[in-house]
Amino acid sequence: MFDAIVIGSGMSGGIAAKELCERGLKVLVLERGRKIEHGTDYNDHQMPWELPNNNKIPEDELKRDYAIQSQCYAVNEATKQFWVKDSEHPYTTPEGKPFAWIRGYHLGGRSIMWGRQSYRLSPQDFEANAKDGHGCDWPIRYEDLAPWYDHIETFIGVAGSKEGLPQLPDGQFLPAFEMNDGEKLFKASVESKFPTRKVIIGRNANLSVAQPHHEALGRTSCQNRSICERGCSFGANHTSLSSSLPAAERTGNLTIITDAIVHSLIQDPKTGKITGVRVIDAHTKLGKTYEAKIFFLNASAIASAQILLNSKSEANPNGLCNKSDQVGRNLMDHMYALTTAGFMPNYPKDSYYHGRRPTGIYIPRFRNVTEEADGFVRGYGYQGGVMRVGGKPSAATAGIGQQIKDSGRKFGPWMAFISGFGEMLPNPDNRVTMSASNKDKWGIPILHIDCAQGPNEAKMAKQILADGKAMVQAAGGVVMAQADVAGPPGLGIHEMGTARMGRDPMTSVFNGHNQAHEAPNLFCTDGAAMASSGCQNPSLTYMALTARASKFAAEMLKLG
Amino acid sequence: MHPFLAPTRRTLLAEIGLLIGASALPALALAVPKKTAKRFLAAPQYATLLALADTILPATDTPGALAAQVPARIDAMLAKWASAATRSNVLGALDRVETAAKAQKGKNFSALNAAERAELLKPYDAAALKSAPPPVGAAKANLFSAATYVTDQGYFQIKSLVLDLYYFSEVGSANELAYVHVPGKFQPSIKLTPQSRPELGTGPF
Repeated sequence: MFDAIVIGSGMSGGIAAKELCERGLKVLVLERGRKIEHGTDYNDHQMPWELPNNNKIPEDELKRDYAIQSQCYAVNEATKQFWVKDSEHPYTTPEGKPFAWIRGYHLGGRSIMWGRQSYRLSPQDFEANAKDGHGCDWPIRYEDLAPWYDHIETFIGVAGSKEGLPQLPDGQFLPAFEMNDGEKLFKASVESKFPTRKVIIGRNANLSVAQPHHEALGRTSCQNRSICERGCSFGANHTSLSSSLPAAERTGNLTIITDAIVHSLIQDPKTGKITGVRVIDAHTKLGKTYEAKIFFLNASAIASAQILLNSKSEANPNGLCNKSDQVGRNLMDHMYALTTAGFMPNYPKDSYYHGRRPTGIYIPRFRNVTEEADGFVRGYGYQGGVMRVGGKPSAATAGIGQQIKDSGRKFGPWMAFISGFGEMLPNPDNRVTMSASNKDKWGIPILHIDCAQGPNEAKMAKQILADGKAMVQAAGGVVMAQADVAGPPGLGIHEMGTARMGRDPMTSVFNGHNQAHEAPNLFCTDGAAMASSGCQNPSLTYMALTARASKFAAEMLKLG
Repeated sequence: MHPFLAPTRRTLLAEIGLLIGASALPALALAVPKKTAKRFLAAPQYATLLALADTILPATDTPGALAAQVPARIDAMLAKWASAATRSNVLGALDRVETAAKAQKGKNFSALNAAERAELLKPYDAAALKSAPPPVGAAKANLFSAATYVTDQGYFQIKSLVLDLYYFSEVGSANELAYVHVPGKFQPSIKLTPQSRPELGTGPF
C-alpha cells in the first residue's frame, strides 16, 4: 500500500509527487497516457528541413484525428505525439456551443507543451467573488498562498521583473528576459499616453540563468530557441519531465505507472475516507485497484470532475463529493484570441535582435484596478510582442525569381501584436456532465461539455479590442488586423472551476486546504479547484496550491 | 562561385531527362548522376513542377529551388501529406500552366528556356494571385492561420510549397536568411548592416 496516490502527472500532479515524496511519503503516480522520456522523446534537435512534410501534419490525418486539437497554435508534426487524437477521445457539445478541449495524454501531460507564462493571482483576485457576488468566496486569501508562490517560483525558475504592482504581485524571479528596441518604444509610448497602464516583460518559467538547484536536476539555461512545445532537451523550461518528477524520483519514494486510466475512486461509506482507486489498463483494458492513505486528484479540471462524477455509489448517486451539486459546474477558461496587430512605421529601421526569446510582453490588468470599466466586472491582461517583419516571403504576393528573393532579404517594419486574456465568471450553467449511454473504449461515460461566454464576457471582449486598438495606436501603430470575437471557450487552455474550493460544503467541493468536504483524505489541486479564474495564466497558482495542500496532507497523515 | 550555382540548369535538364527518356537531351544533362526515385507525379507533371519551381525560385546570386530539392520534396508531400482535394488542386494548376505555355509559346512549359519561362510566368503569377472571394463555407482567416483566396488556388498552393520548402531548407535558410538552431543568449538590440538578413522563425512566435 502506498502513502499517497497522485492521479495525473502534469503540471500539478508533478508538483504533488515532488512535494509528497520530499515529505517522506511513498507516492504512486498514475498517468493515463504512455511513458515518454525526457530528451530522447523530443523533436527539438531536428533542424527545420529534417521535419517530415515541412512540419505539417498530413491533411487527412489532421481532419480525421485532430479536428479539435489542431485549433491550438502549438500543434504541428514535431509536437503531434503530444496531443490526443480527438477521434479516440470523444466528447460532445451542444449544437452551436463549441468547446475546444485541448489535451495531451502522456507522462507529464500538458506541462510538456505549456505556454510557460507564470503570474501570481493578486489579493484582489481572491476577494473578487466575495465582493461582486459571482461564484462562491475563496476560502483562502493571497497571504495564505504567497509563501507557496515563493516556494514554487524558486523551484521551477521564473524569469521576470519586479514591478510593485498590487494587481500582479512580484515573486522570486530569475533575471528577466530583455525587451527588444521595438518593445521598449512600445512600453514607453503606452505608459506615457496611459499613465495607469504598464507594459512589462512576460514572466515565464524558462531558466534565464539556471541556478545550482536547477542544475542538480540536469536543467540548464535557456538557449532562446522558442520551440519549447516540442519538449526541451536542455530542461530549460519547467515541465514534469525536466523538473518535478526527477525531484520526486531522487527521494527514492516515487513509483510511476503509465497507461493507467483512472475509472473512479472508492469511498468507505462509514468513515468517508477514500480507500482506493479503480484503474483500467489502457492497452489490456483490465481493471485493477490501488490503495493508499491519501489521494491527490490532478487529472486536469475537466478530467478530475469526470472522475468524481464517475465515482457514483449507492450513497452518492450524483457522484463522489457532490452533495453540493457543484462537481462539473462553473467551468471557466480565459477569453482568448482577442488580438490586435499593427505596423509601427516609425520604429527604428536599423535595429534588430538575435535569438528567439521564449516569452513576450505583458500588459497587466488595468480595468477595475487603475481604471474603471463600463458595464462589466473583473478584467483582463494582454500578452504580445513587437517584432520585425521580414524573412520568408508570402506566396500570395505576386512576383517570381529575383524579385521574391529580394523581398525576403528586406527587413520590413516592426509589427506589434497584443492579445487579451479575459477573466470568465464562474457560472453554474457552464458545466460538464456524463452521458447516460455513450461510453469511450474503456467503458467510461463520455462527457458533455456545455459552456459559453456570457454577457459580462461579451462586454469585456469589446473593451479588450477597443483598448488593444487604442494602445497599438498610442504606440505609433497603424492597426492592420484585429480579431472580431473571442475564440471558443477551451482554446485558452486554462480550463478550471469544475470542483471548486469554498468554505461551505453546500456550495463547494473542496475546502481551504484543497481537501474534499466529504472525504478527508482526498485533495484536488488542479484547475478544478479554482473558485475564480483571475485573468492571469493559472499554472503557477495550481502548483502553489498543490505545494500548500501537500504540506497539510502530509502533516495530517503524520498525526494519523 | 557558390557550388550550387553552376549546375542548376543542368540539374533541371537532367531530372527532366530521366523522366521523359534521355534521347532528346544533350549528353551534358546525363553527366549529373541522379537517383531514380519513385514519384507520386507522372513524368510529364513532374517535369512541369520542376520547371515551375525553377522559375519561381531560380538560381541567381544564391541557389534556387532545385538546389534545395524542392520539386522532389513537393512530390513527396503530395504523396504523404496532401489530401485528395489538395492533390487535385495542384494537378489542375500544373495542367493550366502547360495549357498556357502551349497557347502562348507552342511548347511544353518544361521545354522552354529559363528566359521564356520567366517571361510567361511573371504575368501568369500576377493574374493567378489576384484575390478572389472565399468560397461558400470556407474557413476564415485569423491571426494564427492565414486563409488566402485567390483566382488560382492551386497555383497559390504550389507557390506556397515552393517558398516554404525553399526557405525552410538548409540551402534556402542559409543563403537567403539567417538561421541558428541554438542561438544561446538572446541579444535584444543589434544594429543592422547591409549584410544582415532576417532570421528564419521556426515556432509559432
